[in-house]
Amino acid sequence: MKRQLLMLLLSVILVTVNAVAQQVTVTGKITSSGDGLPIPGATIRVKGSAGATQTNNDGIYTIKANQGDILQFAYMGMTAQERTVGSSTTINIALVEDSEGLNEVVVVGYGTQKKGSLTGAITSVNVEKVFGNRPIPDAARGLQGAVPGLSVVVPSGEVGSDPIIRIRGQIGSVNGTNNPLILVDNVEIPSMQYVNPNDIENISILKDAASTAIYGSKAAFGVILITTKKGAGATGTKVTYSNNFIWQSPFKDIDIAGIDGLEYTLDAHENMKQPGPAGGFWRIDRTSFQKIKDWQAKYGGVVGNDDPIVYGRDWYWDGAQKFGYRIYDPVAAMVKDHNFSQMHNLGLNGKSGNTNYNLSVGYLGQEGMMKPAKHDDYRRFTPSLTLTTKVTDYLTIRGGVRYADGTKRNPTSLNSDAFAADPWLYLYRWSRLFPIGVQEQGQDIIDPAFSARMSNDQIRAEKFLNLDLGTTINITKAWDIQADYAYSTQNNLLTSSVPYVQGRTHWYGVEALRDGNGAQVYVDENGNPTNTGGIPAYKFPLTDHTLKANTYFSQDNFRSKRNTLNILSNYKLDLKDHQFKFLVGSNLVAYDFSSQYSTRTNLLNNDNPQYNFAVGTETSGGSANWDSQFGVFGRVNYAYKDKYLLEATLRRDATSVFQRADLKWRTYPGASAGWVISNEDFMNNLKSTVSFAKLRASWGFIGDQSVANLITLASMGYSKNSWLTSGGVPNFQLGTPPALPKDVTWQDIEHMNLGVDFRFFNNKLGVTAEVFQRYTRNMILGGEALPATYGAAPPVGNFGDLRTRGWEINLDFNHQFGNGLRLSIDANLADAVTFITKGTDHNLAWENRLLSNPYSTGRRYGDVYGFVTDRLYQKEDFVYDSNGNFVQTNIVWNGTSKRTNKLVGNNPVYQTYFEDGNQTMLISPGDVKFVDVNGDGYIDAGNGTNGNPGDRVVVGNTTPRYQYGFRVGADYKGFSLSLFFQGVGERKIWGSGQLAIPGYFAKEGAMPQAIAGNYWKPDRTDAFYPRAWNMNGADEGYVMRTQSKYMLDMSYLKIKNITLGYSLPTSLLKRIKVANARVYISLENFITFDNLRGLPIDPEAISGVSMLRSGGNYNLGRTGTSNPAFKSASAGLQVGF
Amino acid sequence: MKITFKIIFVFIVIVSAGCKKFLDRPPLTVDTDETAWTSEEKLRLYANKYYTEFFVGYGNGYTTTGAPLVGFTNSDDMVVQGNQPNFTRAVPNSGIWSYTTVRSINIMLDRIETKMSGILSPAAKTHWLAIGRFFRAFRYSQLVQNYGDVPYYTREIFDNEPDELYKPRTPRNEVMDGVYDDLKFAMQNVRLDDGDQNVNRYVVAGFVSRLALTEGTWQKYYYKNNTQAKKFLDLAVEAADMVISSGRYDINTDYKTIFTSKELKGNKECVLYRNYDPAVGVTHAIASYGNLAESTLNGPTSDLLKAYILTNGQTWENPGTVNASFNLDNMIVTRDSRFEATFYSKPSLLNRGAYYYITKFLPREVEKRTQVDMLPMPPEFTGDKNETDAPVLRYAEVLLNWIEAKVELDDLGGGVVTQSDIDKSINKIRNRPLAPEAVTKGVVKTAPLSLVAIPADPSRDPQVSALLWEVRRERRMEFAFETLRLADLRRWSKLEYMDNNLNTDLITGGWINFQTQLPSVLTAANVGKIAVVSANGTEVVYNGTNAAAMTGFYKNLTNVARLPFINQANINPYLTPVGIVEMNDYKARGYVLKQTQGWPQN
Repeated sequence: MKRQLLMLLLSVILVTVNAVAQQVTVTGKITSSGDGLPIPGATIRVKGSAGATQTNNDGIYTIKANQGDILQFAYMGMTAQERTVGSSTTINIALVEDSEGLNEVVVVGYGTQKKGSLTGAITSVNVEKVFGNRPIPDAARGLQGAVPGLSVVVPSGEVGSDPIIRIRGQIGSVNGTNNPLILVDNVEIPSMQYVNPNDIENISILKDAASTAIYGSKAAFGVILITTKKGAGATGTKVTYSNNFIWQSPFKDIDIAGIDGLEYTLDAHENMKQPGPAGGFWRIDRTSFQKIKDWQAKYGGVVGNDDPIVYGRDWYWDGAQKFGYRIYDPVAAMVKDHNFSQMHNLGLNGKSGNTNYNLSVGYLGQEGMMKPAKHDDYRRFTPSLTLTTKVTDYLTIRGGVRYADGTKRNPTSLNSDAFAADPWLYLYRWSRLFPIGVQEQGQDIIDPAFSARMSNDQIRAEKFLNLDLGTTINITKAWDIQADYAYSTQNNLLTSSVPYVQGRTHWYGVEALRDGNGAQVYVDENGNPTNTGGIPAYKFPLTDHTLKANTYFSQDNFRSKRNTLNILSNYKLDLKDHQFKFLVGSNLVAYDFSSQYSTRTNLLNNDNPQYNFAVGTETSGGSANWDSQFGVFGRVNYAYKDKYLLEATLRRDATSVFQRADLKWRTYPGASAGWVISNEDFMNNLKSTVSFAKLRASWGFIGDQSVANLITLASMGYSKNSWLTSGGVPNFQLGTPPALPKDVTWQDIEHMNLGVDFRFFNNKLGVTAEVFQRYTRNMILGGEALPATYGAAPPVGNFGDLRTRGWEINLDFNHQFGNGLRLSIDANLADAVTFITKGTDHNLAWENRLLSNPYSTGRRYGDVYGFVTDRLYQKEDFVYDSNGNFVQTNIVWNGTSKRTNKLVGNNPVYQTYFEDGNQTMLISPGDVKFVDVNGDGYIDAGNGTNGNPGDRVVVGNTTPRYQYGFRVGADYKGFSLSLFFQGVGERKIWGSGQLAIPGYFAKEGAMPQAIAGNYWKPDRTDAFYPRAWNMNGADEGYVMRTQSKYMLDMSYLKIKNITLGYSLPTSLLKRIKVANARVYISLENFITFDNLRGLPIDPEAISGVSMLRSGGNYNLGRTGTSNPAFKSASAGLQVGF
Repeated sequence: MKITFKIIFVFIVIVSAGCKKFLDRPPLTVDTDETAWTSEEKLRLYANKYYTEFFVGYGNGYTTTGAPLVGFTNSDDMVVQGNQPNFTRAVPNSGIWSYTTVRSINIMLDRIETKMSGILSPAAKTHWLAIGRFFRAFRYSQLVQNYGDVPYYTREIFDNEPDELYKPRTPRNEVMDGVYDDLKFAMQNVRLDDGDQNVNRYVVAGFVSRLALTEGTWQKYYYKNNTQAKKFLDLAVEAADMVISSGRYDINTDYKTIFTSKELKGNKECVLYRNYDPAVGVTHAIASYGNLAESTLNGPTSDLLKAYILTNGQTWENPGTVNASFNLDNMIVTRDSRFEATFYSKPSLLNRGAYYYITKFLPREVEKRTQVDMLPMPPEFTGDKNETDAPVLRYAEVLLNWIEAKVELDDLGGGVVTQSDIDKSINKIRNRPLAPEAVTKGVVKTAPLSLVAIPADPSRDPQVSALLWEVRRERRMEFAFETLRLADLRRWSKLEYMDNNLNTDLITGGWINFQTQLPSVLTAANVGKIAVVSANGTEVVYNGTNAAAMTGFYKNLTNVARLPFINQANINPYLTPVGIVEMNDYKARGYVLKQTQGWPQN
């Protein structure tokens, strides 16, 4: 399977035949030097003659030649070799891969182009090399780090989820999708999960508008062009099979604080001068804290994680509240520490007569990390078939079927009505005093693990089908017409149900523990029942975890269909030195979807959730929408002596999104040019060093219409209301019309690109560097801010401009040593920065623009404003009276007077801005001391404008900067080793939630040990984090404001992959009738270097982003609270027959 | 090549011809401002969204904004363990009024006039105009109560009218004259019956009695404008009269049942109620906050406990033959019956503010089930799963609005309040049926209020007449832990009642005999942290050895008083300041937004 690349005709070399010598029959085998596998379909010709032959499936060829003839051996993607026919009739050749070959053909928009002739910003991905035998579930994950300027972020460990893909910068418009257009054989697919990575032959990333303009209205943010494997070039049938067996475990330790966290909670409570014991549902005070430590000494290691909870020993009820003595392990209860996944691919590939075919079936079975869940997994089945047949010399017909059937299962959140959060949040929410994974009196306790275990599966079944039919008519050798029609449909069914669940609840009050006779049970301090003395024992009441009325069965059905018709015509004009290529075509897409859901409550059968077993209230609803695009386009390519290259495109587009006829149509041009300096005569002397050099530039304009068609109208939606009739029927309501939008139309994206391609030392070393600018004009934005009296959001219109500038660099190096060892290195690095050059506030003077507006005119996208941390205050910073108490002083600032602790020194900088004046928030030892940035002798936030930001400056940027990838590969005698590094050089966010923010919710209690073990205490003055504080669920408060020191540094370097493979020698394989066989082991995501100081957060995480909830508020937007990302080790086998 | 272009040209022509239709794909699932105004049914749907906004009841899910018990903890009825809630003491950085609803209603009124004339019958048109004007008046009343002067608009304002959008605040009286006209119009034109759970004329009139009384008393006490005061008090009386004389409503349910019923349909004490039903996922959390399992920081102040009148109609200082002691068991049988229906019968540690647990919103049978029978809590009384219906507008309030307006009008040239007026209102409420469980406990009805024997209350505010004092007391008992107390204090200009320095009964809670009732509190850890205060104000701090002396109003010594807010420079607790950001924004655009009265202008 490995060597079945697309067959293309080689250019004809015209040399006169000069043969009168004796003919011999030469045979031999052509293999790949990389893995030693035979190459079928390689071309062998006698130099100067028209006759040629090809290798069969075993790489064997036979050709008649005369002694002294030169044989040429060629295969796409390999460096051609020549041998003179001598006395031997056997010539075996090992072809060397020429991955950066300039004659390599790159797939571009509606066509192909020689790599050396490219003028736009297009990167062709060597799929074989990048995907290799890695256990990657989808192509997007495989592309991470492989292409400069292609940003792939995996925001959560949820299996079956699509990564976030961006080309050249994180944002192209505020209201558009910013998603690149993903095309599989020129048909748009909605998810990368729908294509089996193993079916992919080629991926081209089209980055600039000159390259993408041909794709028009949906291609504004780049195009990922996927070409799938077609039939084989050589007659015969080849069967291939490969697999991967994968072992997974969390890639990072999840260390949730135990005793130290409880101490933090207690300290926070005392620091805040709160009355009574600390904690929430489970209380803690100094007495119980000592008991907790005693418990550890006495029972730690004796009482197991999942041993039952015992009153008296493990907890105590004082008549109003519970105190826990034992700590539990939520991570052990919730997270699988090892897991098993697998991948299988079976292919049948060949050629028979004029027909090529490729049949492939892929299977992916991937496990998620939630331990107690009935299922947390993703399975995908991806069969595909392509057929091409040459009916006559001039007519080719092709057709294909691509199908993807993916099913994701995870527990339905039993809390969905309340918090829109799943069990993962609760793992990361409560202190370790909260029982988890244990029973009481033989019955389960309601906890996150129990909720996950008792819940029914939420089943996300997605089916994607693509049928295509196409033809090519070769009118002349130089002129063809191609027509392709594709129908694709998505059928997604989301099934969920909440069963009726009871459990012992420890959230509220308790019940007396009684024996069989109803008498109160008394226990001693070990929890053993006593006959005399002891304390009265309690138990948790048995309650409904889910109400009968809230149980349900529900299905949500989504169906979409897309019809795509592409018709185009190519004409090649070859005037020796002047080479022309013309392309005209049209592209027509119609899309519609409808969805429908229905729910019936009161589920009677927990084990077999179906509508038929639900007997309560029914609710239903649905949605529908449609859109269409049409475009006509043309392209001209011109090359003069392969030195001067020109390309121009023009496209006229229309979309249904913009309702008004005069706003529907737009024309978008694009042009690019290249100069191959190395083909100039004056470069001949340098040929040995500079093998190739090209300068290129491009400019293009492209339109974006990726907004909802609602955006153009004052739409009024119907929705259900919570006001009920006396019979309990909800009212419906009709919304208020928003402000009428201002003639919303296309967003224009202008893209400029400058690039250089150099190859040195006989093509061994290649450098590609590019700089670009992408300007979004007429960006759709909400209008200028209006006073509250307007009573609505300002109307949207094409008001804004945005500019992204960036650069990309790519290096590759290939060398084969004399002993056969081959070494290859690929490295890339890219960066992009976006500025909002015109925001809605452009009419305001710069100094009056608000810092809080992320799209303020002149703002760099992603910038975070915050205070600058100096250090933590220490005891010596304050003035004390003779009793050792703080001396207080009144500080007046902006007319507000606050009484605060006096600082030492003559003119100390006060921070009463952070105090509420109530004598609780009083800057004290252990609090953050800020830098007086504006030098006014006081720390505050000014009035929040550019002109008066107080002491705030930019302390970070949330966009990933300096994204890089680095690959080293070596192969030798069938062995191959590759290491792949990927990373982000700079990214900083102000986190959200308990895993990121110290004191976020000290009352609820969960926090990383990295915080709990490193906060300021009088006996730990060199701590990283300030003294304990409880912000009651806020990401900012008191002195824990957005500030330089506590920004999460999300830069990282991951050793994404290490693969070691071995191709079994052919001699051995012959005996078992196997054409080729390869075994490999692969370590994916195994080592991560980050700067998060032990916080259990994946540096790739984006707060609140998960496939399980759209809108960015998954698990209340708290950082790192999703399914943990994992590392995996895999082993696999690949065989061909 | 020529052929190619011909083919392409023909193709383009064909496709372009079909394109017009092909590219015409408007949204399928929404109406627009152009298409929506086509039937009375749609107009009704449009107005439906105001219901949950104005008629909060017990809120929805865990959202308790505007709901009783938890939405209004800042008053002289509640003591909070720890810091007492504070009034705003500084101009906020940002914060201002919302005109979203005003705009929405103005659009509705405009479209009725401009787009629905041929669609609605004249009667229907008048009704819907009246509904719109009712909600608009309601919203402006709220805005005015918060901010005083506010910009007044009776039409949608567009983004190209900056002078309108940034216009100066309209004087309160001008706004309220508009409100007055809207309310009058609504009272005359809303349908008498518009179907199940829909606003009808009596609902309108009931709310008018509240809104008009509110404005009338603000005018009388805060602005000292007797003309405006009389205008609105007259309206309050007129509106309440309309409800009373309809004969549709009555006081015929025992007190607690009104707040704890799963079904309020047909209840004659509810002019409007909000229905909750778990079957359609509409539930609330108010009962859970007082379910005798959930602990809470908020409890009754001693000030409130002292305000409950004795069953003989007298105050605790002049008890006559009744035992006026504050022992909880005694209070249950000697105080007005609403006391028994509002509190749990035993001191409870679960109420950490006062040790008196508020069970006003918990049904008696649930209390019995969990506290006496020791059975598990029914799940619908935990979390946000509560199903009890919420009274939104009670007939009792209309009666008390009516009598209060009458008493207030007394010295503004209104008629003299008669015993018959008192009988129709306060005494009717006092004669409300008692729950059988209460009767079993020994609870009796409170004696009627007699104009010739108004109790002489030594604690009476000397600025308030004896009769008005009793009217206000009646409101306080009737609406304890509901939504009105703070608003009442504001409109009476009596926020000083909430000043902890002026009123020491605000930081103490229930009367406890610790040794017998809550001995577990008397631990070493609590030495120096708790105290009791006698009825006349003597404080005894627990010192570890004086357990026997620990009887009195419970005081948590860690409680922190409200920070000063009365007579402070640049602080006006009566009206809400607007944010600095908003004022700067006006300035940056060449307009002036004046700060709310009583707050610094810069």
